[in-house]
Amino acid sequence: MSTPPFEHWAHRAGPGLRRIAGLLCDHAADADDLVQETLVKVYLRWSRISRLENPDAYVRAMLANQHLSMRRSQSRDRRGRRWPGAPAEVSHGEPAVVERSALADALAGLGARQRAVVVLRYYCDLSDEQIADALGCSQRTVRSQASRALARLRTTAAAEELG
Amino acid sequence: MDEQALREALRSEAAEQPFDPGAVGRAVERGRAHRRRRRTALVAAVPVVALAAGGMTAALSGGRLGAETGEAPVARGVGSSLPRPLPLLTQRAQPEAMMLANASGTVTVAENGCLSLFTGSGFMPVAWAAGSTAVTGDDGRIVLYDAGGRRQAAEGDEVQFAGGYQALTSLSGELVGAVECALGETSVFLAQGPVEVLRAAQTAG
Repeated sequence: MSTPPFEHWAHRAGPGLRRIAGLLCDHAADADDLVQETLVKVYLRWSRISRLENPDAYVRAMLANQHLSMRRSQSRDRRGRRWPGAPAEVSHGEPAVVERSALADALAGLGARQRAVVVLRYYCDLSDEQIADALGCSQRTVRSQASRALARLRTTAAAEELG
Repeated sequence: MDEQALREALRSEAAEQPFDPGAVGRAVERGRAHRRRRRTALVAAVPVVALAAGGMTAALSGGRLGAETGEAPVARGVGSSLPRPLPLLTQRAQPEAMMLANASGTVTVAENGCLSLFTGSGFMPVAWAAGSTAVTGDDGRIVLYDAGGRRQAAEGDEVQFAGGYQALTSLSGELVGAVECALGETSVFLAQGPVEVLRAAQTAG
């Protein structure tokens, strides 16, 4: 069986990955970066990934893990590695005030892992077992993260309704 | 918010996320660059392995080969003195317009193995000038070379150069090399002038 070209796959799967990335990230530029980094990794492993039964599912897991990894790295670097003269506010190439949906605001209040669980469970419709595999944690952790995330989203939604 | 409502809200939110098809081409380009760097490192390693194997054969055969050819010590320590390419973030091309902010500090290898500038209070992520390379020198220090192969500075040197920092998001396709060298920051300092050594590091011996 010949390997399908990476480019064909990426053009087909890219929009779906970007949609997931958009739900995982607060900023469009971060979502673009996340997709870009993931595509590079997929390209480098394409001969293996293309032979998988479900490459799209595998890459979704890569995307989620890449996101968690980038968040860890950003958090670490922003804590202790500012250099003199660096801008206090990081520019994301977006206007300073961005109109966001209530859902985006609510998602922004979740931790990175909770958010990933919510997106994989309720947007990608993955089972707890698949999410646990993707994120490298136990199903119990997935369930507890999902439960906490839902509780938090409900609190946020209730607060918004109250005005 | 019940689970079904959440599903619908997520679908609605996701539908508004645009995909840039150019990301595919950039991924291919960066992937190829990554493979080129890896190949270069492997090609550099092959003669060492061969030489080391040759040296070992000579030793096993009584050590006379080296004495006869005058090349006996060839395998000794050759691995440690081999120029080893270092992950480096560089600009794809020379800038059309120069930025003139001054950066100064000590050329240092950051925790992630990338050549950076230590300013005294932190690492400044640098995208070095187009074509720059960094390898381990004979004394074990990392040496930075420009596109023409001219030595610019070495690890431990206090240097200054012109340039300016810019958001990574505005540099799409303009940087090549190891993106991890951006140290997780969202902007990097683009080194655009020659690297001037203010004080060379003291070397042992």
